[in-house]
Amino acid sequence: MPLRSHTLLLLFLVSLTLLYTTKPYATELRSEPISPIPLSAQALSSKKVALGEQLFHDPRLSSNNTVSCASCHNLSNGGTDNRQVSLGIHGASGAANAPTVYNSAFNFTQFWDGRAQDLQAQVNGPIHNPVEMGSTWPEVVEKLSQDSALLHRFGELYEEGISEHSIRDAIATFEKSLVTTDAPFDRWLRGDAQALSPEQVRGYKLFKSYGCVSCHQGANVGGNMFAYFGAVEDISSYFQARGGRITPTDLGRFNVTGDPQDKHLFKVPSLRLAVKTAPYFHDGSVASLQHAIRLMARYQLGRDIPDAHTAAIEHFLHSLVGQHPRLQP
Amino acid sequence: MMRILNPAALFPLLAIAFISILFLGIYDDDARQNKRRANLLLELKELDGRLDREILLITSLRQQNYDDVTRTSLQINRITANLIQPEAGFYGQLNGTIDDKLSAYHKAIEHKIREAERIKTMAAVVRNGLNYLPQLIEDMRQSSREEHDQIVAITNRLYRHYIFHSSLDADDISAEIDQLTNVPEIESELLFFINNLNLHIRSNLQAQQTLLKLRADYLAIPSATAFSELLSTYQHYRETEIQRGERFSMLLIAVCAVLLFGLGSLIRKLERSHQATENARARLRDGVESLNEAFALFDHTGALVLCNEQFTQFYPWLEDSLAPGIHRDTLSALIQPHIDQEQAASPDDPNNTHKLETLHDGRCFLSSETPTAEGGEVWVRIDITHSRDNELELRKRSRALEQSPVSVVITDINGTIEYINPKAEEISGYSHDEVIGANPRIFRSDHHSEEDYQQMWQCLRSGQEWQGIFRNRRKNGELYWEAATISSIRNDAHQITHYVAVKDDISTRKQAEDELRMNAAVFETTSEGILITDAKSRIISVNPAFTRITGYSLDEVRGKTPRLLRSERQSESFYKEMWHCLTTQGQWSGEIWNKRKDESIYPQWLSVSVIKNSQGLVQQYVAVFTDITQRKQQEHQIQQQANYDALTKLPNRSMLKRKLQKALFNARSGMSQCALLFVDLDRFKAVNDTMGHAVGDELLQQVAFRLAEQTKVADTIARIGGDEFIILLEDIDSEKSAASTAQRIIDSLRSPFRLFGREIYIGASIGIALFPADAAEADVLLRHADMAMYKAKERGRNQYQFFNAEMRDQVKNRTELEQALRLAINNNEFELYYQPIINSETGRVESLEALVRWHHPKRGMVSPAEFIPLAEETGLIQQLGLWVFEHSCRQLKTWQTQGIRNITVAINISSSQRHLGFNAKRARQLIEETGVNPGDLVLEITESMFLDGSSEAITWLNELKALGIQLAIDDFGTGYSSLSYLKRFPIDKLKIDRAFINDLSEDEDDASLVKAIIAMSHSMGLTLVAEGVETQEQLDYLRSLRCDLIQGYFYSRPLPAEQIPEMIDNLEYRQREASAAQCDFII
Repeated sequence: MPLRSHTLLLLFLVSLTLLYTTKPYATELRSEPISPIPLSAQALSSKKVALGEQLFHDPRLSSNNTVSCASCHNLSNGGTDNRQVSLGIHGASGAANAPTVYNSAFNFTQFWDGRAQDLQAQVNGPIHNPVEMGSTWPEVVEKLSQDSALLHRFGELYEEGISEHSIRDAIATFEKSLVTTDAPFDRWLRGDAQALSPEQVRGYKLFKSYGCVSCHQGANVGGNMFAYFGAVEDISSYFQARGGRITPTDLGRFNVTGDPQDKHLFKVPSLRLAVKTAPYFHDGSVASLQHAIRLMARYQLGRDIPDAHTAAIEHFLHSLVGQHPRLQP
Repeated sequence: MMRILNPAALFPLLAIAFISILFLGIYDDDARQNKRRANLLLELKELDGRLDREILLITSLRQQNYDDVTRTSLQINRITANLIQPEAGFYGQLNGTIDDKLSAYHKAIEHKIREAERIKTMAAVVRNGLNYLPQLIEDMRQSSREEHDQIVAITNRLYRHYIFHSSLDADDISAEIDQLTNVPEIESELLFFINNLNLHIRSNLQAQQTLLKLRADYLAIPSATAFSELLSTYQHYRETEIQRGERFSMLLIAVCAVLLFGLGSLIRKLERSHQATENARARLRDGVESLNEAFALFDHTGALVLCNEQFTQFYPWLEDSLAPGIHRDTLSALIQPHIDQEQAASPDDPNNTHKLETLHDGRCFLSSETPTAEGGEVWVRIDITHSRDNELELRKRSRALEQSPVSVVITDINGTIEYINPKAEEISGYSHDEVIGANPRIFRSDHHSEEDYQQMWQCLRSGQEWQGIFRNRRKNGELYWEAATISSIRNDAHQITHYVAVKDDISTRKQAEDELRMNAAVFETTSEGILITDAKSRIISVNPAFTRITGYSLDEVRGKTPRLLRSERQSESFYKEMWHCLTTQGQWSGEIWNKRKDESIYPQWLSVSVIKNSQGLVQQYVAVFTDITQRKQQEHQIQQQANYDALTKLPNRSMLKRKLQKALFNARSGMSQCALLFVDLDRFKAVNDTMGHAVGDELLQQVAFRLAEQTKVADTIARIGGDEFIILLEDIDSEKSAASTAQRIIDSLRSPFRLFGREIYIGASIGIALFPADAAEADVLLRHADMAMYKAKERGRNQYQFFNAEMRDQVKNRTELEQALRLAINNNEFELYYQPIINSETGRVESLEALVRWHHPKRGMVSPAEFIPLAEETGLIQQLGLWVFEHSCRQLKTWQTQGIRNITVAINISSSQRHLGFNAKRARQLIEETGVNPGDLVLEITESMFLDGSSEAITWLNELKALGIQLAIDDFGTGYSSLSYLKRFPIDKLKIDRAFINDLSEDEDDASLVKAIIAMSHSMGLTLVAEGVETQEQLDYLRSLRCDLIQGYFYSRPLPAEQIPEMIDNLEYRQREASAAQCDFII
């Protein structure tokens, strides 16, 4: 017996030593325009997260009980519905491509045009949008109040019980928990040289040298500024190529400020889960990521870039995908 | 009070209002509010600075990562709202200047955020170009070497420009780019790069310019100024506020000091005035409390101001309500229900408003309700119950004396009458005026001696009370009894001043007492139980006879109801009926079963009467009863005797008949069958004869016991004759079960009986008749069973026999015969034959026995053995008997006229003829009709008649004998009669039964019996006749025994009347011949 105890103790000490010696990058963060997503998540009430998750999946939030948040934000599959535009109640088509809910907490505003200051405010959008959930808060509150179990859970967490505010808060709290961590790129940033393949490193370098990183920077690789769609090249050729009329959605931030300067000004989307969230752009008109990269080069840079480069950049984008329990790797 | 209160109440109110105003004046929104505002401003200032710093970094392209600036913008956004939202406790809360400054600052911040976003976008564009240019140059290098250096130089200048910001550099770059693009011949690939380069550098420079302009705009935003203005305005505001507060505080302290001083003096003043009021109140209260009268004061609104303790005592139920303030109408309403009577104290005086209140509890108050000066009212109540009671009492006593049912006479100490009451007047007959001043002597009669009176006076003078009875005289001279009590009346000094005599006329009472005494004696001594209850049936009294009968003493039953005597033998409806009778008719009597104390139950004859008072209400119930146990027992015994055999306790014939009828009724309705077993004991007669009646009786009892053993409880066993028993089996399955019962009975009776130490064997024969197979009627069934029994006996002992077809034929035959017999009398089908009875010594024909013969038109001669019993059964024997009697007499007369003298005719009389009405009177009638000499008639009567032994039978015989008729006992020896027994009857002759004569020569026993009978009868003076003599030997023997008369075929068979003279001649001739021969022989 004493022999075995000694062996165990020895094993433990060795493991401890290894743990510390094999994490040299832990203290030296690479200096790059992109920062890693913090490993330790924001402190959230687990009960509110659970309640929010339930509501997130609750179709009673829609007027005819068919559409829930999860209908367009499929958590296992990148947090979007992978449709050009989302389908609302009665099969109605939305006006814009659904962005991912993952890491949405890092966005400085919500929606493509940044019309919502935060996640709480964002919830109002789909609830009231007649082509999404087409409901109203009094209606939602009344429906959910029929559910005694739900009433009880709300009662435990919110003094006011079920209300539009508490519903928003619970959903937003849940969404704040949807953070993908420990992406290969984050590990690389934290000093793990092995985390990226040489191709991905080459892709990252190209990502920077083509200027992509000018806008897609920060922890979320985007999502913290507005940028003109067509910064260098005139964007009208894009709409011509896409076909169809220019819709109000195409006008971007102009819809919020009414300032002509803000036409086609959009919130720069996060590229963290870009590889999982096709199709692309606010109108979801581009199905492949490489094509999207090419179009970005054209309109934001004014040139075509070789396929090898787009492929490398795509490789790099794969390294941005972090982990979350709900997200399928 | 109001004078004191007014300024006192006003002053503190004013003071409090003033202090509140002061307090509110110095009360700042409070420190926390201020702190929050300060924090807000500090935080904003800090964030504002941080934003500035970030923007400077971005515009100088030192910051590529926007996360920090974004975070700062978000934080600013989150808190700037607090600047202009009234809820945040800043905007709109203080003053307009501050609000203006807040708005200005808010605007500046918002402007900054907006500008920051543009800077972010624009900076990204600039960075974009800077990031991309090296790549572009690298791409170009691969296609053109010549222009490469130039392009690098341009680019380097561009980067220098970005680092050091020189407009000259910017101009140079533009010029060089122009130069480059103006080269005329350029290969297309290079052209693309040059164009691209041109585009990027130019737009970059332009963007750079824009960015710089944006930065200048951003920096020009007067947020710092706005902030410092806001801050100084706010600080100024705070200072003013604090100064104002200080002023107010000083004022507040001063006001408070004044107020406290004022308050102190006010309290002292109040204290003093309160004390004075209290003293006044206490004096008033003491004064009111010390009153004996109840007192209550009401103010002008009618509210109670005060009342005294007496008031509470006068109206104790008001105790809880008597709080000051209660309205007098409320009190009146509470008092009113307790008032029995209310009237004016002096109805004659309208000015006097006093009233007399009589309460339910008897108390009487003099009440006054007087208005006060201030419009209120004073209630005063004086309890006059005592004085009023006294007055009433006196009046009552006086009335009592006047209306007293007893006489009262008051005398002075000398005996002079001062007062007599009306009753005394009425009794004595003297009027009041007549006796006043007189001496009570006027009432005296002579009944009492002078000494009696002296003794009375002695007693009275010694101060004692005297009691006694006077027999006095009324004015009209009548005497009457008076019970008197004379006592002395003393004054306060205890000296005797008067005597009072209370006298009661007890004449009627004395009479009633006598009656009562008598009634009580009856009550006490009567043998009938008497019980008296009150109207609720509770026992008040019982007499000794009650105790004797029931066992309960008065103490045990007093207060209880007669229910305890109930035996539960009567149903509830019985009692209901009894009570109904009592309530409607006032009395009830009947038989009832009651229970004694020892639980035994007995019958009583009970009479209950209701005693009502003069109003007709039930006062008492009187129950008188006798114990009828004995009577009941006797009744039961009689019932028993009438229906049961005394010896065996079995049902007798009459009971059997009823049971049989009932059984047949049941069987008829139930379609079942019954069997009747006719049991006749064999050899019983022998046992009875040889061993005596006691043994016979015991045997019968044992037989009854064995029969009971062999039958079921439901079966009926009856004894209908000496040794005849009937067993009725009801509801039998088949005749087999009757047969098996019969066989069991036979077997059980065949085994020996143990009687008086001896074993006795008898047996039984049983005849069985079935219902409905054998007969439909009870009588017929019984007869058929009897008949079957006879058949069984004929077949030998210990047999049973069912009634069968053969017997039915017999019965049928008999019925036909009966019919014929009835006709025969009318059709004259009878004829009398005569058989001579001859003197054994002289040979002379002394008598002729008339024997009836029936010539049936079809059957020919019918034997008397056949039709005589039938005639007896059917009652035809009476008619036939009379016919025989009459014709015998007429025939005798005929013979006497023919010259046949000294001959008598013997006529048979059946025992049933007596029952059917044949008697001496009827006989004399016939004798007189035919004109025969009664002495020539002999009536032969069977032995069974004498067995009856009843006095009626003896009288019947004596009456016949008195006619002069001779009486003979026929068939002597077959019955049970002994010779000594015959002494009681007026008998002349005995006829020995032919059975003895038949066996005479063979049977020694019979011979000696006959010898004994002859000897005995001679000694008793009876003539003896031997019947059935057929041979010379018999004749000789009888002669040797000196038997007087001989009858039989030896001499002659019975012959028709017309042959009789010839037959007599022949017989007497033969006798003479024989005598002659004898004589010859003697001679």
